[in-house]
Amino acid sequence: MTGTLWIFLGGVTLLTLQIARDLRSGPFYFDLFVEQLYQVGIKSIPLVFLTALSIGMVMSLQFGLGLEKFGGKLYVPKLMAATIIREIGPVFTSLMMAARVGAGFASEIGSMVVTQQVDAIRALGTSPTRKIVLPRVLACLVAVPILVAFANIIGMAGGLLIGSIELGLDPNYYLLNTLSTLRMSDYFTGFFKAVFFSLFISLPSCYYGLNVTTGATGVGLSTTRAVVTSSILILIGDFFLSKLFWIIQKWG
Amino acid sequence: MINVSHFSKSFGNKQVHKNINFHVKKGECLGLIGGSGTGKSVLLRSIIGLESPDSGTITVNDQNINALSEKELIQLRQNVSYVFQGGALFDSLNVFDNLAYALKEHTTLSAPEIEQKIHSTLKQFGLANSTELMPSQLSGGMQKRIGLARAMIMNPSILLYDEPTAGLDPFNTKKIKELILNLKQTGVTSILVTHDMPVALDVCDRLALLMQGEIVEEMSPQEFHQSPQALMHHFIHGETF
Ligand SMILES: Nc1ncnc2c1ncn2[C@@H]1O[C@H](COP(=O)(O)OP(=O)(O)OP(=O)(O)O)[C@@H](O)[C@H]1O
Ligand SMILES: [Mg+2]
Repeated sequence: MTGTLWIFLGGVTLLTLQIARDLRSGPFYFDLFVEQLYQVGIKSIPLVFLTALSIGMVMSLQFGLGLEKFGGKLYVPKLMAATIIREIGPVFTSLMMAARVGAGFASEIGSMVVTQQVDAIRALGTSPTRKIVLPRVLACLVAVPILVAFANIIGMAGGLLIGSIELGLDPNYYLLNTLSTLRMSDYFTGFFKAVFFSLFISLPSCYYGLNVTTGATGVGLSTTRAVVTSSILILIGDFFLSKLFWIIQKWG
Repeated sequence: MINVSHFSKSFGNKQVHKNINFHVKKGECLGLIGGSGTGKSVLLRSIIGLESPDSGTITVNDQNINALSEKELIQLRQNVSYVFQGGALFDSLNVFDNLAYALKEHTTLSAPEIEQKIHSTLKQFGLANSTELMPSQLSGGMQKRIGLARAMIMNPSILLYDEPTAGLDPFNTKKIKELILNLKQTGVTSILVTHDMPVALDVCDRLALLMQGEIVEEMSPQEFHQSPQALMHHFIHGETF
């Protein structure tokens, strides 16, 4: 168990170093990057929309019903805004992306390994990290933070919807309260989390994809591992990043 | 040109190659024969650095393959082509883009020149009308020939063929054989892995028999015809493995 952990950490570190080296010089395949941006970013919009909307609505309902008992219904917008921007938006969006995109990367790259296409990339005098890994990592790095921002807006809109229909809060009050609660530091916290989470999604899935060894079972196994690893990294990472941002904020 | 000495390679506790030694001169074609699973593909893959040896050295153009960085290997591979046993076509690209891959990467040819080159290459392989097809729409034999075309299109000075005629009909086998002979006449150095003895005897300058991790016999086609007791005869008649 600890053995595989070290192998994983070592492998991902080497992959990261290779990416860093490839970024410094040599060809960059812009068309492959754009293609991945489409696959990762644009095509995830419906999923992210649906997730954010339903979570926003459920949260608003639960907060409302819970706080009503203490006469605290008016705090729903404040509470919603802070939790969505700092936690729920980045974490849930990233988890959904880990499931959709991480699994996609791992299985696609894994099948390429099994059918010797990765060998063919090397045999034809090109680099698999440049051709496969770099476009995917960069696409996640760009797409995930944008999708998180999108999810935040949709989530709060869902909250507003339930807030005004079910909880009887005035929409104008809800909106103003939301906007006045949020501070720049909240946006930054969410944004930096999204940046880290995007790496937690792309690096393990590319690593597991490239390290498939045996046939179709190997691809399945790697895909499972990629999704599980990404999800765990996101959840654990979220705790430590939250902690870190609190410390930074106290200084500032 | 290609020199392999004391090469050994294991996967896990399974030793595939014990002690391989051979040499291929410039412009020469070496035929490599041996049973299924004796490690012919592993040997070819090692020569272009897709696998690394456990011990021993492989030099290509006087460069030690294992001392090269991935960057230097990329340089070298523009001159050394490996024809994958299964084709290994990019299944997300159509036939045209598969063939254009290396040309776009390593040459400064313009788009019309690339198109021109691909069409003339495909014609040689009798596949002129398949540019728009995806690999999944091709038969096994067609994939194989496209794979061969992809390796040849860069005019490499060294070609490593991994069973290029296996599974092809007699007509296409003859066509491929002629292509390989033509390339040889232009000075290409090559290693031909094959189970097809008539092709090997027609094309190769020397034949080597791989058995249990070693080259156990090496001879020219003439010597082969003159020595009916050779192991190679036993091998092709299925009397030894
Ligand atoms: N990546 C790998 N991991 C483990 N074992 C491998 C690997 N690649 C090859 N082998 C083993 O090495 C041996 C030689 O394989 P190779 O593909 O070179 O055989 P071959 O001589 O080309 O056979 P064929 O004529 O059937 O193509 C096989 O027994 C195979 O099991
Ligand atoms: Mg083979």
